[in-house]
Amino acid sequence: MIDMSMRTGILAIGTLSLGLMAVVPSVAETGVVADKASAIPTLSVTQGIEQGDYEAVYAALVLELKGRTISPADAESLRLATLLEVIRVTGADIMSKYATDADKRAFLAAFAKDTAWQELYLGCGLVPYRTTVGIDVLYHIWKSEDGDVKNKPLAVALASVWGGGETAPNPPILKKDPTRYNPVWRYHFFQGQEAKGLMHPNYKNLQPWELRFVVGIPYQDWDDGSYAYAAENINIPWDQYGQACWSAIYTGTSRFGDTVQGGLYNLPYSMESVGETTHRNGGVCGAMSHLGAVAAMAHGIPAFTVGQPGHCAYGVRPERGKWVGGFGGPDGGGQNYIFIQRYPTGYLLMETVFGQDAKVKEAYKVSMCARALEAVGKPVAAMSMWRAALELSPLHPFFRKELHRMMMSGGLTPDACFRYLMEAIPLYTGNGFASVDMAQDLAPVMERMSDEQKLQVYGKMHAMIAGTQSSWATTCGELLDAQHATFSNDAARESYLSMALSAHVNAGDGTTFGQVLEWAVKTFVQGGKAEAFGKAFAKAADSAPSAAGDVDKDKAKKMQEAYSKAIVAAEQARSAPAFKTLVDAALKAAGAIPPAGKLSLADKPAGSPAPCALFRSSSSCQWDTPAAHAAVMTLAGGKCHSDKEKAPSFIVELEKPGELAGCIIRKSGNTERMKKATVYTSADGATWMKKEMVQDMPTEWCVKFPAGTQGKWVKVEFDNGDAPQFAHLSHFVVYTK
Amino acid sequence: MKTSFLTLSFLLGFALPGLSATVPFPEVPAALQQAKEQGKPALILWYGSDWVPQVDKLCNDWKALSSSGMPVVLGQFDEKTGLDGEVRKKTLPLERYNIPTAVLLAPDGSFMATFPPEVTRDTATLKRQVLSIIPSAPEFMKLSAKARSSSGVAAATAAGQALDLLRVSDALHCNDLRKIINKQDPNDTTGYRSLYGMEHLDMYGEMDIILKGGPDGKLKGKDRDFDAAEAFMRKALKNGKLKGERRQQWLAGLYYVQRLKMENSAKKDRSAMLATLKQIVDVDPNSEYGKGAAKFYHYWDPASVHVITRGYFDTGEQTLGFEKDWHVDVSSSVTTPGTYLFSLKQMDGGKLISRNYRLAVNGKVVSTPSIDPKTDTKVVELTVPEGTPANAKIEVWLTAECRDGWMGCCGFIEMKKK
Repeated sequence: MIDMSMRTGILAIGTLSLGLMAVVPSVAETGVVADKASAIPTLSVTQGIEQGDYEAVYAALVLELKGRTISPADAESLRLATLLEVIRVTGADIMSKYATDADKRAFLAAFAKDTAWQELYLGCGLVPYRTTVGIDVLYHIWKSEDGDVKNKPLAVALASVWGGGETAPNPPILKKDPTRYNPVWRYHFFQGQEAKGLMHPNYKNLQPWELRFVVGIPYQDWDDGSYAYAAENINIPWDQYGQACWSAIYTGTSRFGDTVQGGLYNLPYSMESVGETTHRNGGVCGAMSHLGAVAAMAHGIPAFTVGQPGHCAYGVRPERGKWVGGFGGPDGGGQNYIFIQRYPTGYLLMETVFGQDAKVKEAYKVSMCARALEAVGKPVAAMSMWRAALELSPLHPFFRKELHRMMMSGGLTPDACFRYLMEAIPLYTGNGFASVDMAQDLAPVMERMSDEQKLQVYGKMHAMIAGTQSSWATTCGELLDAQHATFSNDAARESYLSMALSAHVNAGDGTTFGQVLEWAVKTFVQGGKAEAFGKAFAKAADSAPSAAGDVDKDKAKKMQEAYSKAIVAAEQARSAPAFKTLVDAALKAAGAIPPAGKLSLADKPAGSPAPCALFRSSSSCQWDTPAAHAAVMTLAGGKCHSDKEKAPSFIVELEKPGELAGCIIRKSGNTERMKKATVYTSADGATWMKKEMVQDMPTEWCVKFPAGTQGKWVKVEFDNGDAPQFAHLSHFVVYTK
Repeated sequence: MKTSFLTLSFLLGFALPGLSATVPFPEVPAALQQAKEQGKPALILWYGSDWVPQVDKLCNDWKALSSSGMPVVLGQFDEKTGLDGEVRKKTLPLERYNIPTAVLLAPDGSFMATFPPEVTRDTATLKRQVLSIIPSAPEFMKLSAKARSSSGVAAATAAGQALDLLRVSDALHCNDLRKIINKQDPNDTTGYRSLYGMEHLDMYGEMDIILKGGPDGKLKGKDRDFDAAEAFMRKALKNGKLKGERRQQWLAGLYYVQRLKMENSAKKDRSAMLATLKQIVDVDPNSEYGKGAAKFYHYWDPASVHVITRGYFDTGEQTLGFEKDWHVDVSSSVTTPGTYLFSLKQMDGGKLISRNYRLAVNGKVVSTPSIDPKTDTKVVELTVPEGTPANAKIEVWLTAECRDGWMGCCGFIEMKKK
């Protein structure tokens, strides 16, 4: 029940907490009927229901609601508003046509009188939109129960998965054999399982939105028989269903020799349930993940399957908020989803939105009132009501969408949009990517915000993303590109870079920081703006964790991987500033890296070691240590390791051109490699003058250049003929006079 | 089948009324110790006291079993929710996914048999089955020990003879003895390799090597060595020990080679592979192989038709790369004589060819549409002639072929009066 202070807030328009009244032009509360179909109601609500004329029922409801104070605290107005919403979402015309059948008309009448049932239906996450599929499922279940549906949450969950919703319609169900995919069968199956005490202890507490993940989605999950089969043949401890997939053998070849990738694999068993066929005959990841998921579902444990690149996996949920992977899940692209298809973003958001039963139920009641207020021509009050719903369930995407729609149609200004987002985005702690999705509705107005405003808004978003669980399935490269492109000048874009790097350098497990760094190198360093990158990165790196700090090992490893990639990219981009900045940061994070060897200095060129700006390796590999590349150019030594190539090479670029005296090159480990070697010098970085060649390079090779050799670059290249081989050095020190 | 475990540390902490019953038997290590000392097999109840349904009845029945005089040492493995996976692996190195199950171990701890839930719960049946197996335990142990301590064909023979003492389904789970057979008798001189050592994946794996001409062979397509592969199958099938599903497996392999030969020949003669499929069915029509072979026989048999009665066609009706006739029962849709529109409303993306429509009444063609029988169409007009009896069996016959093994061809069937 909504408390009095909130009720006062809803009615007192001048106290809107987000300050929107100051910027949204007021819309006249004219009392004009929003729906032209309800202009002159000819039947009462009761009469309309009896006659199955739902267009008339809708009109009559609007008229009745106009004369009332619409509020969730008022039971009667809530009852009317709820029925109004059922008719709106299903379609009055569609319901009227459906009601031409006497039996179905009787069902609709029973449903129309059962507000609690309607609330369950409307609060299931996805509500079948402008289709009879949802109400038809309920009708058939109602009929099978002789008009007394014992488990309404289960019934509405089936209606929801069969019928989908406005954002996720389910036409594919029409492709399925109705004798094998039957919601009524499933209803009675789960009822039976519960009656026999065969369901997970949490099952009886599941709400409709959770039951969606128990009853399965017919166009992706398996046939009815699979549930019965799994219930009978896969029974393991409640916390083991993430392993249930392994109850079948992993095989790509059937008993009759057919490959799983072909049409004949299941042919011998095509009329048994898919579950039984797979359990008895095996499969690969897709079939096995579905088997694991259906085994969990058959025992009342929510589950889903996900697509991953080249793989299928699944997730099971032994308790609320806790999704556990099976066969490499639970992250990936889900088929069964309410708000967002990509997991973990989707299920994290779902768990947050629905996590508190009482609050979300109340939020839905408030949302019915919001719809009703709009239907009776009171958009300002409707908007207040949407905000009230969001106070109860702040992250609900559908409530946000409605509020945004009204804000946009009311003439939302960039300044108001900015203030709104600055307040709304921090609500998305733990659901950072959802904050980005949320703001999409307002993109046309956000475009007109100033660069400074955008920077602040994006900063908030990145702060949320930084605090959100990372996953291989969520990447921010596209987001960074999109946001970066909205700025009007380079200075603003550089500020954005600085903000993005700083937001992530200390947050999370390093995954997102690595993505941001990769994007930054690609966009700035390789885009010819290395100096800007260097400045921005230096600022972020100041606050980066040092080796002496208390950094989790996994995170440290991820950070080093990110730095390694970025350093290699900076080398390829020939960006000395970026190279130096990244190496310094990597060393700060990792600490000193021992060199791969020690110079004997038995022989050395004249002059002294030259200050060097950039080291470049022709390739890198898993054994390379890019953070130690810079040290290779010093007497102390470092490490570098190319990939297997026919002609691997390393290039040193000096800080300044000068008279080159020579160089010392030292191999590290596996010294039987790197035999035929040639040293070149260059004054322009493109034209190479051969200086010396050996057929069998010694471990430590001192090369002395002729007097007067001018240049800024020195290269050593190994010739492996037709047999690619690695190259690895501890030293490549260039001397100048 | 195998069981493995997550290492989650939480416990659900639920206890439904009637759950949490246990049995007063020693845990597995103690039970095995007692079994060894007493020279008796150990019969272990593998269950979960906090989650198995009707666990109290199960435990009561097993308590009663303990006083029935069976010459075994009874033990228990209570796999509660939240048990560490490493503990489970050390306790019972088996993988099972349908619990409760009973496990019979020889006095030396070797695996002998496992029993499904329906038998584990039915202690009378369980007792009968256990009593039929345990007399073999001393000989089983002796032969297993001989297999482990010897080499070559002698080791393989001993291992195979040990497995002969078990039920075939249990023998196929004795991985250590199977490994001995495979390693010590690679040419299968004992016949035990084809009997116990090679399940279908191993068999097709070796067949593939033969088909391509050896481990480094490069033969492909119609150049593959079908004759050598067939010889490999036939040699295994000469093994008199191969019976039941084991024989069916090798016959399925033979069918596969014969099918490859047929597909890569000009004549496309199916007679050999059909005969082999029939043999598989004759061995046991109710096994997985038997049921599958029957479906494949129907699929490949040029004389068979697909009879569809449910208004929907699915992957079971598709033939890939060749045509087959469908007989679609439309009796319930035909109310009176007249012109009807018959439609195949395909719902999946596979390429379906459908042509040569005919209307049959009580098994005789009575009308055909005006279009050329070669025309591929999903909608056709058919006339139900005057005088058709009201209770006649009315069918639409057509010739169909699915040309997409990946997407498949499925959809709805409609017969509506025009």
